[in-house]
Amino acid sequence: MSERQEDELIRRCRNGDDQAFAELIHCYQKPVYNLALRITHSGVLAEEVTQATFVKVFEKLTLYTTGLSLFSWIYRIAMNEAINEYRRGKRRSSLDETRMESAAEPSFELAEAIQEALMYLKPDDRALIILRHFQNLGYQEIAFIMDRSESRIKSQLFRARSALKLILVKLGVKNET
Amino acid sequence: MQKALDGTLTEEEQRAWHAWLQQHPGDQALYDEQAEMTRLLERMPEAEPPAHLSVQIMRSVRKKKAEKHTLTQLIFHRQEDPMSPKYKWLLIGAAAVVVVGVLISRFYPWPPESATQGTIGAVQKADKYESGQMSSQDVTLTDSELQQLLQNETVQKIIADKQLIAAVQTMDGKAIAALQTLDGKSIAALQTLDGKSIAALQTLDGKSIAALQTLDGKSIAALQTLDGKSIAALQTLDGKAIAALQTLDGKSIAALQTTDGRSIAALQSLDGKAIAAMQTMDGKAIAALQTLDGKSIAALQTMDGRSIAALQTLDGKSIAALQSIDGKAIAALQTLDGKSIAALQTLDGKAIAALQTLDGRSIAALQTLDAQTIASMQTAEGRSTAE
Repeated sequence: MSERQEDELIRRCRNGDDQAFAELIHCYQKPVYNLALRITHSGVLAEEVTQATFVKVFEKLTLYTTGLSLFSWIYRIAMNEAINEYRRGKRRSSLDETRMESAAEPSFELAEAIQEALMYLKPDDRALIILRHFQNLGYQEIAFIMDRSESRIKSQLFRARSALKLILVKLGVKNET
Repeated sequence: MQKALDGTLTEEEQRAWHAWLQQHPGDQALYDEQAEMTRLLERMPEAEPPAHLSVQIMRSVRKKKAEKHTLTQLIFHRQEDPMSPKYKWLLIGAAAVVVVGVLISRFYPWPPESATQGTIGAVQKADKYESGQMSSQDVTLTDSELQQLLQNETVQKIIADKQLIAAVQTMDGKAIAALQTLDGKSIAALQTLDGKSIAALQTLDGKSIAALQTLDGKSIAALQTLDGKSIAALQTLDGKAIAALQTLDGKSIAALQTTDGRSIAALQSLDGKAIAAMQTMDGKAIAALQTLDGKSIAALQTMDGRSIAALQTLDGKSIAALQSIDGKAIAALQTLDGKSIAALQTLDGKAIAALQTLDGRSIAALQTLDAQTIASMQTAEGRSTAE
């Protein structure tokens, strides 16, 4: 969507145009849902987060200032919603040896194993990996979404990947690359 | 490494990077690990959101919209006749709230005439303004006291003279509001015994007193003029802040003191001499301006940062100095008895520049200790030296 089209869509949404808001949902629900799914590792929670994100977008759209990327702005809301949802009682138990050992089955599909490993990362690190590697966002955009400097994002990403590798090894995932 | 992982290296950078990796096996291992993870993560499939999700979201948004609309209507769009009984009651209610708020006050023991002090000297700690705390005996009226007051000969005389008394007293609610004019003297007092607040304005023989005291909150604001002398004081005992302005016989004192924060700001003029001082003990900053007998001193000192800036004129002699002990820079300009000295010294950088004129003799010197260069020009008794 071009910047001009985006501005027009925002204007219509602000004027209470339901059709415009439906278009906005259509454009962004997939990345938002995927972000939520990767962070919460639950389809149900991902749906809830996606819904809550768009309700918040509707409520706060008047506060959105053009110049920022609408996508980044929505993503920022979604990431906070997802992390909060995850932290609100849905927190998974921290990495414990029993779980690790039982999980170390060779039948693990790689994608499942990576998702499983992601859940052992801190929510912030997880979100960072998702934004960079699943959503292919640039460092500048991630820095805006996560409200941190680019250099900090880069070093945190480096550490997060190393941590993920270690978890995958502990989960018994063989090097299949 | 990040650029290599992102695939944003130029050809030249790539060559250099590979050469580096060949010579540094540790970095090679790290890079391989990061590259492997990057490849793995980028192979992750994207999930499709359920088909019903967008419908579900739109339903929530519409619901939110309806709620918002209803609320907006309730607040802003409800038309109310300004003269309707409901509207009038609303106004009466609001007025009642204001009155009750005003009645949260009570009478004040006048601030002592001379207890409010500023600072003397540049950075001396201001003494705390102290006033006697009101006791319950001072403020509690019993029925018999009230009766006595009403039957008092003076009060009766005032009523007979058709002078004004307005008094509202609720003993249960313990609120007292009074406005009284006695022989041209006026007293306005508002007192709430429970709330322990006092607001008072009194003019006696041309002398005026305004005081507001909250015993619980322990704040006192007072303005008093007695015999042309005025006192303004604000004190918060808990917060330990004191602001005071006092003029006695043409001499004025302004002081602001925070005992916890340990900052003191003071301005004082005594016999034409002015002192302004600001001191933060925690931050260890001191700023002072002092004029005594036409001599002025301006000083700013930060003890932590160890910088001192000072400008002083004593008997026509001026001194300007800037010193950072940590940074080890000293700049000074001094004129004593027509002799001038300008000096700039950086101890770390080891550079010294100096210009000095003593008794018509001038010295200019530039010295760099590290680089070991010295340039100097000196004229003493008509002789010049250049090195």
